[in-house]
Amino acid sequence: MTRKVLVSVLMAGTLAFGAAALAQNTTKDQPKKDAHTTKVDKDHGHDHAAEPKKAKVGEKAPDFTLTDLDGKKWTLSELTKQRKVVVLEWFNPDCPYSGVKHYKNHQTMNETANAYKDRGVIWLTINSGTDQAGGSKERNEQARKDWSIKHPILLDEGAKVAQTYTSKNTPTMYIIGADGTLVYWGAIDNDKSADTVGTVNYVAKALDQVLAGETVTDAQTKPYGCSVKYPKNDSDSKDTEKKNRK
Amino acid sequence: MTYSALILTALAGAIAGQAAPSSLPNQPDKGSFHAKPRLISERSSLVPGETAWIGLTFDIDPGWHTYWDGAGDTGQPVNAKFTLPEGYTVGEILWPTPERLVSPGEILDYVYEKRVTALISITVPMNAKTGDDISLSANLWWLECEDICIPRKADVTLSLPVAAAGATPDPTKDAPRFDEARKRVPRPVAEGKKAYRAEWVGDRLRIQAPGAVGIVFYPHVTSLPMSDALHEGMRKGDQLDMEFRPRDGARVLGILEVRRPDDRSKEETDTERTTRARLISEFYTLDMPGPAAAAPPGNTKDPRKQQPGN
Repeated sequence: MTRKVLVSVLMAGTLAFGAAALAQNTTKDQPKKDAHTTKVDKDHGHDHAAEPKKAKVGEKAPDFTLTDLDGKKWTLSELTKQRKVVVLEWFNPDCPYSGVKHYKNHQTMNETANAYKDRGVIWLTINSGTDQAGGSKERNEQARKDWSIKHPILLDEGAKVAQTYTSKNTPTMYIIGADGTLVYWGAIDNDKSADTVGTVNYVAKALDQVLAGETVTDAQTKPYGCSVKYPKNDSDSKDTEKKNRK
Repeated sequence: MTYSALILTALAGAIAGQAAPSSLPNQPDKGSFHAKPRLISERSSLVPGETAWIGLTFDIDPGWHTYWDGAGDTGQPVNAKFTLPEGYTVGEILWPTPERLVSPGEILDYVYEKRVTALISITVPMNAKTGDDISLSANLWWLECEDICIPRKADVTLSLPVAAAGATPDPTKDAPRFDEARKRVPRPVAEGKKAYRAEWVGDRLRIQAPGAVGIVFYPHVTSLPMSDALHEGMRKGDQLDMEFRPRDGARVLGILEVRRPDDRSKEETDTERTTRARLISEFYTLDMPGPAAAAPPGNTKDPRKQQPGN
């Protein structure tokens, strides 16, 4: 009878490394919910330069306007005026880690969105993909139907908003506080496999803290998932490394 | 509903109105694997009491890739669980250096294309019985991507006979894959110390390799994270300057590639001048403490800064 020896192999070499979630504590306190905050912003005067500011945790989240499947326009600054907390979910219906994992096989996104919708939280799902990569009104419509998605699904044509948010994965989650500050950026959960949902829902945890007026403790985690399908006209890489041909 | 209630729901696996999920990772019906795995052996039989090299090799369709266990933006590395007979043990698992793959949106991944072989050392027990047939197997899961990504799962097996003690078995037809892989498996840290110098200048790690015409750093997934791996992880010339984001206790861990001109290209005649010199690469494991640990010795008051020497 042979004794089976199971050896789990993941990393190169024999050095043992603890699994490291890239959680970075933000030391910046949440600005107080103060009527003066938005007034001061308006008094700042002239707009930024042509290049839109990129998202950064602890700073005002970049504004955008995108249209949902019913033709309604959603503008972040309008939601901030209404003191809404906003969740952005970068989405690809065909990605094993996005649509398939968190809508088809598990109900993470729908359940979390529904749990907080009556508490002043707006959940916006954003699809920035190219037409061929599932980034179309039709594909979004199909996903809405298949998975009974009740929150808005926005089409980010040309991946412009993805660019200002430097969103690289589907899913990538962002939480914007009621005063417009970006307070969370990262993964939805702590299990980066395609099949199982993690023990920690980072978004739900952060929303609880935001709604209680507390600082978000895990403000930045490493997202996982497929790449956001940007349009293929980039050529910023000069060296002899591979470029994704497609 | 609170966060804790949501977690309970997720753990209970309640899935309303959908087909019950498979217990396997999602396996869409997209035809055969694009990265096809095999377990292979360098030699045609096992020798009692000796170390044998087997390989986990993938043949990857054009346009597709698998991932190294790096700090890339997307992807999942290969995961392998080995099942060996009694007395056999797995020693080292050595993955070759990957390549950088840049996708639109400044997305950087560390991937394998065309073909990759991980080298695995197996210790054969002294009392292995000559003439026995031994079965080695592995349960694998990985992610293969082109434009789309498909998570995959497979079991692979290798059967090998046990030769007499002291035998020198012939190489198999797969032996060339081992030589190919060895060229890109990083050399140990100690060898690197002769090829390059690495020192902290504030939050920046400066790598200098005299004679190099290019240097590339491939960070492991557990490494201290880089600020801008895309632009700072690769440079022409003999110096690499990389900024890292501070994180207590984390080490810089990964592979350093040093590119040098191939001496053989000097044999060209005047009429065969080429615009591109041939390069050869050397690969070294880089494993060193983060910047705080390397703080200059005057800092004796802060116990956190007293780290053992590297």
